[in-house]
Amino acid sequence: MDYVSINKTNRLFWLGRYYERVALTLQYMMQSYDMVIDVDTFDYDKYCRDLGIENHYENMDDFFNRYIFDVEDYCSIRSSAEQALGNGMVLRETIGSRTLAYLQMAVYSLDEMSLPDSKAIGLGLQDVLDNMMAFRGCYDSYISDENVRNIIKCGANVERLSFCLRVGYMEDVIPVEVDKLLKRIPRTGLQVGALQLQSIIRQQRIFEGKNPTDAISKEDFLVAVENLFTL
Amino acid sequence: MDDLLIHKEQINRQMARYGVKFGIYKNGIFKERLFPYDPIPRIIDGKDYEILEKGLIQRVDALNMFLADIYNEKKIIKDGVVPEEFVYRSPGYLAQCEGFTPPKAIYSHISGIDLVLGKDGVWYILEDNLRIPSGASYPLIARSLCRRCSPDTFRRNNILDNRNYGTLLKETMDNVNTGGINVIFTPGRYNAAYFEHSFLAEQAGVVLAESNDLFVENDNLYYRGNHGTVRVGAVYRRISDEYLDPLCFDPSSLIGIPNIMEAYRTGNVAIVNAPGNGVADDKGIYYFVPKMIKYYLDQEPILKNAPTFLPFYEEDMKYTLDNINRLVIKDVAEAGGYGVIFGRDLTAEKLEDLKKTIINEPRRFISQEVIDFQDLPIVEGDTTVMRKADLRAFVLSGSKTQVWPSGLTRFSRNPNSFVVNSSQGGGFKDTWITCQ
Repeated sequence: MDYVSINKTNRLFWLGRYYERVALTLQYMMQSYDMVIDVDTFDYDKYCRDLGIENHYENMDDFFNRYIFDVEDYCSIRSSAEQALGNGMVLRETIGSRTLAYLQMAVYSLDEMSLPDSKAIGLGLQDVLDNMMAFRGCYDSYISDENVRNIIKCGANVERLSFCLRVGYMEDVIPVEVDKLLKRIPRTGLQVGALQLQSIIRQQRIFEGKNPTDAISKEDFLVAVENLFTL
Repeated sequence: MDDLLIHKEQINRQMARYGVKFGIYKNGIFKERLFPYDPIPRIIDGKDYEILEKGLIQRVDALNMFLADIYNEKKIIKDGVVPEEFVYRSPGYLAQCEGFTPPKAIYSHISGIDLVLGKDGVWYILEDNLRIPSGASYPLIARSLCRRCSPDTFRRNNILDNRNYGTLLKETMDNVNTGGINVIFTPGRYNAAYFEHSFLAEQAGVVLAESNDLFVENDNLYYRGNHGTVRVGAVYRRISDEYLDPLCFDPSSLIGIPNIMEAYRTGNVAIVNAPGNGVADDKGIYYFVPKMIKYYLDQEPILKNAPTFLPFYEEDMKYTLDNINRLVIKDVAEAGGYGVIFGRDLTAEKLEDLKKTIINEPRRFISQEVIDFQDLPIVEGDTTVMRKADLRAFVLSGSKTQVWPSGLTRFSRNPNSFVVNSSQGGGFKDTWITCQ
């Protein structure tokens, strides 16, 4: 069994959250980037409000450029990739060099595309996404400790639920994500808040149509998801 | 070997993929840099290596005996071989380590010995690093990538495999483990050698821990696991002595482990390398290592020191002042390629200033003849140029003392420089030991 400290547990969870944040927001941005070709606009102000991040962008182009590539912008995808890599670096002996390498390559790809002479950004972003997906497959295949794998996955579950609930993206996956999350919790050894867990189980029952009158607001559900783990 | 040369860029890209970096602080800002790799290896043939190996083992054994003696009986001082001023005034000497012998009397478990090959074909020892020598991870990962790049090169040449460093490290730790897990203790991600800490933890299959992960209770060191606490039997610390224990050394250290020295002195945990080793790799003590070999082992030193003078002695002071314009002057308190002054590079005025400083602080400096060491070929663009290079050999002292059959060859990228340190912008090569 791998010896995982409390600090490392925290990092594993946030590694899961950050890599999923990069993967999800990238997909969303690629879709939005494509949409702009037809409608010539993207409501980045609403997007920022939904995610609870500061809108310090000058216009749509500035948003796309800085939100994706700017390492100095703490809200950016590049910063999230840096956070994923940073957490991964201090977990090298737990997750392995070959797994970590995909995060490193994702960061390099983002940096290459941020150079002034880079072209075909849409294609380049696909490289970043490919690396994130390879990271996901690699850690799932090569980390032998089930607890470690499940802590990362729970981080990713929470991030996916949080993003989908906030932005209204891929809402159809929410029931599946809730199921996965609840099944994984006992396999992590992590402590969870009783009230938050109760709210999520209640929401699961609503999804299953077992107790449709026992409604829970989207906001309360989001708060329960965000505060589920007491790390 | 042509394959390796042709694929230099691809190999370096692979290094980048695995985050082969070292960190430097410049103007207070931490930056990580890729460590440039040159694919032309340093090749040491089996016969040369045999002598080198014997000499390195001899030297490290003597240094370990010196440390055991200095912190206990002090016979070498009593017998007048090493003046006490050089021991007790050394910044590496720690009074807190007096009267205690670590498990199996091993102080320097992992020693990094820096050598150069002179144009006369003789290996000269430049420096002993007995505290936390770094660098083994670089040739280790380079070898794996180069084997992937050109299997044929390695199939056709009889090169000793160096990929056992992780196993050797684990065996070295197991040998002194007092019961519990092995841990590599790192100050954290913003340490210059963080890549190495994490990579070696992975290679050796030991736990990487930071100060928050470790604590001492009832004179035992424990790892704070998420399934409960686990006792630690050996800790390979990659943190300087002064920051190791705020209750014993620098009280302002936030990256140390309070009371680890108590656990160590009680014999409940082995610290790799032992605290207090700095007294033996002091640039001033370097002068005495050949004398130590004769004193403790009753043997002639197999490897030579660079000709060194101690201004502390009247005769050496005179020699240093008379020849300062062709000597290299080293400040014993500095490391990492800093505090190295070549007399030939100074103006007459600066030489006079330096002379005055040496006269006022004779213990602070040593002077050495400049060794005209061999250049090695480096790939630069489409051509090959010659540059100064040294070798850091790694000697591991476990159940027996052994030399890792490889080493870190560092080279200067500046054609006029003799300083090969990575923090000064140098690159590295793999070191191949060919079988006889």
